[in-house]
Amino acid sequence: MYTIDVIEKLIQRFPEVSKIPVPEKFVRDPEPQANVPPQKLLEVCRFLKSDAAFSFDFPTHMTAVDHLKDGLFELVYALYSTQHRVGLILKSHVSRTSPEIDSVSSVWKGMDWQEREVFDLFGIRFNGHPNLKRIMLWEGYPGHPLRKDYVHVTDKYDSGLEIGTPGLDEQGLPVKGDGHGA
Amino acid sequence: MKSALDSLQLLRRHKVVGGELVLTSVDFFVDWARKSSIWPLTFGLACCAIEMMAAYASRYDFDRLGVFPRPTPRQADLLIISGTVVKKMAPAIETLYNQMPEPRFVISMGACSNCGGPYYDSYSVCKGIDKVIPVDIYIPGCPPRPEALQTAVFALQKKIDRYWDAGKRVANPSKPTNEVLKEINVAALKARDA
Repeated sequence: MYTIDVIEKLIQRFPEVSKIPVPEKFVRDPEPQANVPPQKLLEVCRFLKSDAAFSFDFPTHMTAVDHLKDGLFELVYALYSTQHRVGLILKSHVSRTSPEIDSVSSVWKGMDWQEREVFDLFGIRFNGHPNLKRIMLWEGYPGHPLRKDYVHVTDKYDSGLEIGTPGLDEQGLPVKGDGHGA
Repeated sequence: MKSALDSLQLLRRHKVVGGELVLTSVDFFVDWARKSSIWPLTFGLACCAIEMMAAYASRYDFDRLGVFPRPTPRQADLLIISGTVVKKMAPAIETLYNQMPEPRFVISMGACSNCGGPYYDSYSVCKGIDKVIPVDIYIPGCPPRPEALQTAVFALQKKIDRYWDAGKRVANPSKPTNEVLKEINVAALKARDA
């Protein structure tokens, strides 16, 4: 199977899926990219994994992008088929106000921790995830730091001060005019 | 009793209720033993730990200074903070420090553990380990070379010399030499014969 065929075959099966043009001039050996509606993502992934013509058995990576101006989160899934030796990138957009999407960890076990990372840093919820907890930051961390509108809350490891001490206000935010909160 | 020891500050007098307490050169011995066997905890955090490992290895050979890593904080005198302290790790370091028996010392190795270093603006990095535990020696560098760590160990040895009841006694008293010992012995003989 040639790389170019992947998207065409996928669109034949799922008409909702659309091809994203890749600027070949700037990317060496570009992988085909497809835009998938978030409602269809799980179904498409299940098909890509199980269908013998595709058999995308290796989930390379998944991540997210914050498009603050458009009010969207873009989820990016990088897949690879070890059988056909082709790659594929799926993109899906969810609203920033209620960011949630179906988990694909039931299709690929390897996506479990990847989704937890995205949940941790972007705050996107994955429906049907077996263990959706923070993976890198600790429980009770204020906010999701890779969001573009994230505001850092100074804590005692930044300032050496406990919250409620001089230099921090009631919310634990640094008092204005003092860059370090100390 | 005034003796040559007094002038050399080998004999220290402390006034206590009902008399005087006299301390002799056991302090020197203890200090000497303590500073000659600084046992750090086997503990590395980031790339500074690679330099620390190089310092333990044969080229720099910290063993000759009596510095070799111990596997448990219960046996360690020194905690080398070798690398970036993330906020998730900071409570664990605090626990390790609390598990160490006193006297305990801390070397902050490199820019990250001194102040956060290149990760100063990060949401997850502690802006200096001294926000969490007290630090004795800071080493600049990113990462510091093994020689720098060696210098820190020497500095710590000097500090241990002055550590005990600092203020009560002269900062760094002179050490007994052969001449001094001869003087002491002569004084003792004179006192016997008198």
